[in-house]
This record gives sequence, structure tokens and C-alpha cells, in this order.
Amino acid sequence: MSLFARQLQSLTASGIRTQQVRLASTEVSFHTKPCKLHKLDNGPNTSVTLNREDALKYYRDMQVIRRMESAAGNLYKEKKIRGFCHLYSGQEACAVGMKAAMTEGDAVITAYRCHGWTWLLGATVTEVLAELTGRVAGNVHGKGGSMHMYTKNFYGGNGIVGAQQPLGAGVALAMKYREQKNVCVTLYGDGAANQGQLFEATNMAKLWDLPVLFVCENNGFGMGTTAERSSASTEYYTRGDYVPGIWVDGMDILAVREATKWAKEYCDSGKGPLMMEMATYRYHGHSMSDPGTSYRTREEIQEVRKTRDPITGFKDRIITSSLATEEELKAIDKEVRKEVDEALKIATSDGVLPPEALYADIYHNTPAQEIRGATIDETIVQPFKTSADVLKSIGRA
Amino acid sequence: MSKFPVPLRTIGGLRPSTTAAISAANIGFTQSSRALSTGAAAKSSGLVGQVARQYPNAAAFSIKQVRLYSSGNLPKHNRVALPALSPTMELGTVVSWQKKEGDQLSEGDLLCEIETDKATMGFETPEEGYLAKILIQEGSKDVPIGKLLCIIVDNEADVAAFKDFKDDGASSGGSAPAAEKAPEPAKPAASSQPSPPAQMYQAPSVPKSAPIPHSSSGRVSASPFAKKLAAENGLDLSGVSGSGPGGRILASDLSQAPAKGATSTTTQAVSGQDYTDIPLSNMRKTIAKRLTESKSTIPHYYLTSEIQLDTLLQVREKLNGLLAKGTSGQATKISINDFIIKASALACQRVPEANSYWMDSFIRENHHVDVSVAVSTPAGLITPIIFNAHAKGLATIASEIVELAQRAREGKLQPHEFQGGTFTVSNLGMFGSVSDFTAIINPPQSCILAIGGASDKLVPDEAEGYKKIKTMKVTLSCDHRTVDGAVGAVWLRHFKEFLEKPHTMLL
Repeated sequence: MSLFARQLQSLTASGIRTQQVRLASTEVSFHTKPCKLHKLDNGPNTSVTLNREDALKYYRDMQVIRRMESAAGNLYKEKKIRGFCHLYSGQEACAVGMKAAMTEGDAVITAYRCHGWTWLLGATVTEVLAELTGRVAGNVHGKGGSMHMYTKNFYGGNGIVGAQQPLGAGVALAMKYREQKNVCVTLYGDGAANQGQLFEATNMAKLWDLPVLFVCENNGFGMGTTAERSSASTEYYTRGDYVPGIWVDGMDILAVREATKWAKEYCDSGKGPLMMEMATYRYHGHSMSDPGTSYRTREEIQEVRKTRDPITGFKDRIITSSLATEEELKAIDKEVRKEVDEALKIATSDGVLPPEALYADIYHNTPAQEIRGATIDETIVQPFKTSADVLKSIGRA
Repeated sequence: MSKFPVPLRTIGGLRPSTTAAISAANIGFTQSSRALSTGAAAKSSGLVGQVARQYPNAAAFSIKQVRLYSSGNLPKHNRVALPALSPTMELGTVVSWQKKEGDQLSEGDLLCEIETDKATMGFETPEEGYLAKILIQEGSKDVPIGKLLCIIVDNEADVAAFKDFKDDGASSGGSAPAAEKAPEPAKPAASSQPSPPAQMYQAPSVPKSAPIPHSSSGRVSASPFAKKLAAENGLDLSGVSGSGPGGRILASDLSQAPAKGATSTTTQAVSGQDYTDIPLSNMRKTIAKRLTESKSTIPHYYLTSEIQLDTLLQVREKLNGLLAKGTSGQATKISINDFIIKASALACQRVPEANSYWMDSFIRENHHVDVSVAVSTPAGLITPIIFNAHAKGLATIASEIVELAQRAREGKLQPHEFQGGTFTVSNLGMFGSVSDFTAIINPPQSCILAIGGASDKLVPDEAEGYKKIKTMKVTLSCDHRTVDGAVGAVWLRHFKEFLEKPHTMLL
């Protein structure tokens, strides 16, 4: 654990937050930490440019995710969210950076740490928080909860560790079949990196040169086990063997964006899949039942928050480079807080779906089916075929 | 991964309340839908219309940290309620505060440590700012979750304003209400109706396929659960038409089943040729209740000792010889049991823990040793008492026992004669069949001594090579709440010494 912290520290020390060069009044160039490469001759550019508009957007996006996750954590402690809840705080740069490099039609599939991704790919904060509290206003009207949120081209949170990896390869297969110039970003953690399914999916992806980015968000811990204790090789970007890979500093949004752009070009050129490892950190426990301090020290977490935080790091950069002023960012903070507070109101006051909604959304485009309930004597004919029908019946369509 | 929270477990007529609820709900549901379609939703529908309409306003809501933008003369602040740090936590104890009033709080800082039902957990600050006021002090025990824990403000200058802040009770009841009483600056006048918490829509009645009469192939086709219920309730399945696939009888079909009693008398029998049912006497009920309670609530443990009886038997023979000559009045023969009672009483004096009562909130150490002696009567076990046994001679004990046992068998004991002993002796030695056993403590007493039968034993002897001795095994059952193992062992050492060297009882 301390090893990991030291690693992170050394990254900072070696100066990833490097000198920026002023190009024009609205565009600034930064240096990022170079990517480590596996079976590649050259990698993403270490010199990246950022304009004011993007800077403010990225900052806002990361703040929304951070604030939304804090709100979710608080709701959980009030017992307004029950069951599963995995928070993304600390890893915001990965999602926002990758999203910034994605283009129309690109798809994402991830595991259960999915709140931030759901929001980035089109859901509102209200939809995410209300889904967590199981209300009608939720992303899937309260039927999915923390691990099962979806938007267009976002194939969801997936509850089973590692199950999303072959699914992501499948999405990429569809893209190739349709001759789309798109990639499927398939995310998993350092824990799921040891799942056999990944290697099966990798084999087929390479065999058929599918446009899939296997992205390992390495936050250092698979639940409460450090990467060093769980993985024979912690060089996750090399573990695709015959699939090339790159290591990216996942706490630097610009490095992530640049690497993802580069990886997309690699896939689009028809070279097949690519492995990416995002070195990042998770501030909260694995889930809400994990205080997160029994396998690492609170000091280690605070150290990362102080020296490597993706948001404060980025904030410093854009202020010192005069892309934005502190006041402007404070105004964004305030706006974000307001947005999350508004969403909280709805997430805690909205109604829930009627029970018969449980029988809906089972088959696509069939007449009403006879559906077995918890026991065979609860077999009923679907009162509603889809959630949309249910919503219509309660006047919420 | 997720469980279905389906509230409909309808087993037909067997659960009438559930069925009723569902059909009632059905009515409510259809009404609401109609109301909505006619545009009168807000008035007539408590279920549906409101949610749709209130959603944009969200008039009343409840979140734990309420941001108060103008609360009287207090500056903007966040009220932090006691969080649930484990999924099952209801009450918490604030073990320690890691921050003081006035301290700056940054994200991830440890605010305080809270003991949940499972462990002591660190509570990280939910909000950046400054800790303005601590409302639940260190060491406060069993505070319900949702109670106002502290106040956090954004600006350091605002800390002073909360110096004398008192919780106005706005958040005192559970996890929800913090906001309910809080001023609502943006409250629209129209939405004065109480806010619906979580609106539950009710299910329409569950359509069921019509019951199919089951085939007459001899074997009754029924679900295992239906068979089980039928067996438990004595129902006859042969006349039931099942509504399941192929006429299979389901649990929900059982409401039409005739009771088996109607066609057969076996389940109605009270007393047949093969057995007799005996009504419980009050004494039997008391024995059952008290001993069950004792064995299941008292942490019993058992200590066994083997006691050599040869010296005691010699003494007893001499004493009985004297008694027979009439030197000591009317007394009858002294038995081994009398020695045991006397020795127990004296051992209890040496080890008062064994002579004490467990009184739930304290332990009562008795100054007199009143030995209860278990006596078997035709009606059941009863324990007449030798009061002040430590102060009585063997002859007195012997004559009292004889007299008490006699009256016990006749059922003539007065309550005070068998209630309130401080120590019990139970002797099964006279049957010759029991070598040793463990007895159940007679609460609130702490110990009971179980005496087995005497038997001959060969032991090594320096002079002869071996010799024959007589021994008996006794087992002391102790209540570990009052008598620890070492204490029980000391008691047994004294007891063994008294019996093996009876003259020490004179000391």
C-alpha cells in the first residue's frame, strides 16, 4: 500500500505538472507524463494543448462527479440508498478524460462503479441520484439501482465482476460488422483484470481485430486487496500479451484524453484492440460496507488527496496558466453544488414504481406474456409490457 | 444480484389479509387512473397525481445535510446528522472527536469516530468548511441515527455565530425530519398539502387462470408445498380441483379442501389404545418452566470429584451405634446423605460465592446456609429445606430430613418449607444404578450438588500392594455468573476434605 502511495508521490515529484507554454490567449500547451508502452514503437504525444472552453468543461464535469458521489455517500449513510453503492471519487480524470476523446457513436461498458460514467454519457444528476434511491425519476425508473444504469451507447454498469469484458468485445464486433469508425471502451478494475473472461475476450478481439479498448482502471485495490497481493504481474497494460498496451497517468485528465485520442486512432486504423492501464486512486472504500481504512492508512489517502487529486491538480494548472481565474472556478463549484442539491430534492421526494412494473421490460416487441412471479402460483399476464407503459399509466410518460 | 421486493405472496385463501389488501389496492389504482384521465387528479387521487405534479416543485424534501440559506439570524450552514455507518446501525456512540470547533475541514478529513452496532468507524467530513458547533459530545452513548451531530459552515468568520447554538429539535426524530421544520424559502403557497414520502402504487389484482379439475388417475397431483400445508392442516386433497398446470393442486387451491376430520376420525383422537395423554399438574408445569428457564439461561458448568468414604462410614457406624443406645433422644439412624448436607453447608460457609443468588443486577451473598434437598414424590420433584444446616448437628439434620421427606410424599409441605434455599443437594446414590450425573441449578441459587452411588474400588497400597476402598462421585453444577471455575474447585476441595476427614467438620 505504502508502495503505491510512494509511486504516486514520485510521479508528482518527477514533475508531471510541468511547464506550460502559452500559445495564444485561449490555448495553452502542457506536458504530460509519458505513457509506458507495450509492443508499440511510439505512443501518445506528451505535449498537449488545452483551450479555455475545454478547461472549464472538464473542471465542471469532474466536480459534478465528485459532488454527486459525495451526495450518494451521504444518502447511503442516511439509509436512503440501500444495497449496492460503489463510489468513483478520486478516479474522475479517467472518465472525464476518456469521454473528452470519444466521438459520436463510441460506446462504453463498465462494471458497477458506474455513476460518473452514466452522467457523462447523457443521464442527468437527478436521474443518477434518483436511480440510487429507487425513484421513478431515476435513470431506469428505480428498477436498476447503483449497478444498472444505461444511456445510449452506454452499455451499463454490470454487477458481475469481469462480465462486461466479453460484452464490450461483442459491442466492438457489432461496430466492425456495421463498418462504424468507432471504438468500444471496455472498462474494468485491477481486481477484474485477473478474470479469465478478459483473456478469452482479448483472444477473440485480437483474432478478429475488433475496435475495442480494454481499459484497466487500476485504483490500487481489488476490494481490500492491493494489486501487489492479488496480481502476479501488476503491469496491467502488458497483460494482453499479443495485444499492445499503454500505461497512462490516470490522475491527469490531459494525459488520459491524449492517450485515449491516440488509442482511438490506433483502433480506427484497423489494427485491432488495445490495452490501456489508467493508474488512479479511489478515496472511498470499495463499497459502502468498506470503510476503506483497514487495508491502507488514512494518511495514505490524505496524501493522495493533497498531492495527486485529479481535480485540484487540474485546477492549479488552469489557474496558473491563466486559462481561468479562481473566482470563475468557485462560481462553477457553486453552480455544481446547486445542481446536485436540486437533484437531491427530487431523488428523496419522488415516488416509486408500482409493483407490477416488475413484470415489465422482459421481452422486446411481443404480446403480453404470462410471467411467473416469485413462485409459480404468482404467475400473471404482464399488466404492462414496458416501463414506458407503466409510466404512461401513472401519468409520468 | 438484486432481490425482487415483491410484496405479493398470495397463497389464495390461506392468507386472507393479503388477498384483501391486493383487491382493495386494485380499486384504488383504477380509480386513480380514471381520476387522472378526467383531469381531476390533484383532488381525488392520493396516489398518482401528486407525484407527477409535485416532481418539479418537490415542495418538501428531506436530506441529511440541509443547507440553510437564511435561518433567522444565523449564517448559511450545514447541519450534519449522525450517519448510519453500518447497514444495520440504529444507534451510535460518539467515541471521540478528531476535530475541534473552529477547525478547518477538508474533504476526507476524519471528523469523529463513531461506534456502530458492529465496530468503531471513522466518520469523514461530508462537507468542506469549518466545524462550527459540536452537538453530540464525545462519549454520548446510543444516540439514534439522524440526530444532529454537528454544524459545518463555509466561512471561518461564521463559526462564532454558533457558539451558543442549541438544537431546536428540528432534526431530533430519526433520519428524515431535519428539513421538515427547516424554513423553506422557496415554498410555493399552493403546495401546502403534506408531501408524500415514497408513493407506493398498489398492484392490480392478479389474474389467475380458471381452476381445472384434476385428472382421476388415482394419484393426487399437488405441489409439494400444497401437500405440506394439507398435511399440517389435516386437509383432504382428493376433493380439490387444482388450478395449476394439468390440474395440479397449488397451495392457493387449498381453501376449498375439506378437513380430513370430515371423512376420517384419526386426527380427532384424544386418547387411543396406544397412548394416554396426561394433563399437566401445576407442579409439573412449574418444574417444566423453571428447569427449562434454568438450563437455557444459566451458563452451567460442571465439576466432578471422587470422594473416599471409608472413614466416613466408620464414623457413621460408631455414631449410629451410640444413637441406637439412646444417648441422643429420639433420633433415627444417620445416613451418608446427612453427612453430605452438613459438609455442603460448611463448605458453603468457607466459599460464600457458592451460597449466593444471582439477582440479575447484583449478586446476593447469603449469610445462612439453607440446604434444599431434592426429594422425589409421586407428583414430582420437590426440594424441602434444612434451614441453617451449617449450625445443625447430624442428628438434627437426620431427623428433620426424615420428617420433611415424609410430609413431602404426602404433599403436606408448606410453601416456606420448600421455597428459598441457598444451595441444593440432589442424591441419586440410593438407586445403585447411577454412578454420577449432572443436575440443573435451581435459580436463583448458584450451585447444585449431584451425588452418585458409592462403589468399591481397588487402589495401590504401600503396605499390602493394593486395598479396597469405597468411593462416590459427586458433581457440582455451577452458575458461571456467580461462581468461577476456581471457586467451584475450592468449594469441592473443602467438601471432599469434610467427608474424607469427618472430624474436621467439628473445627
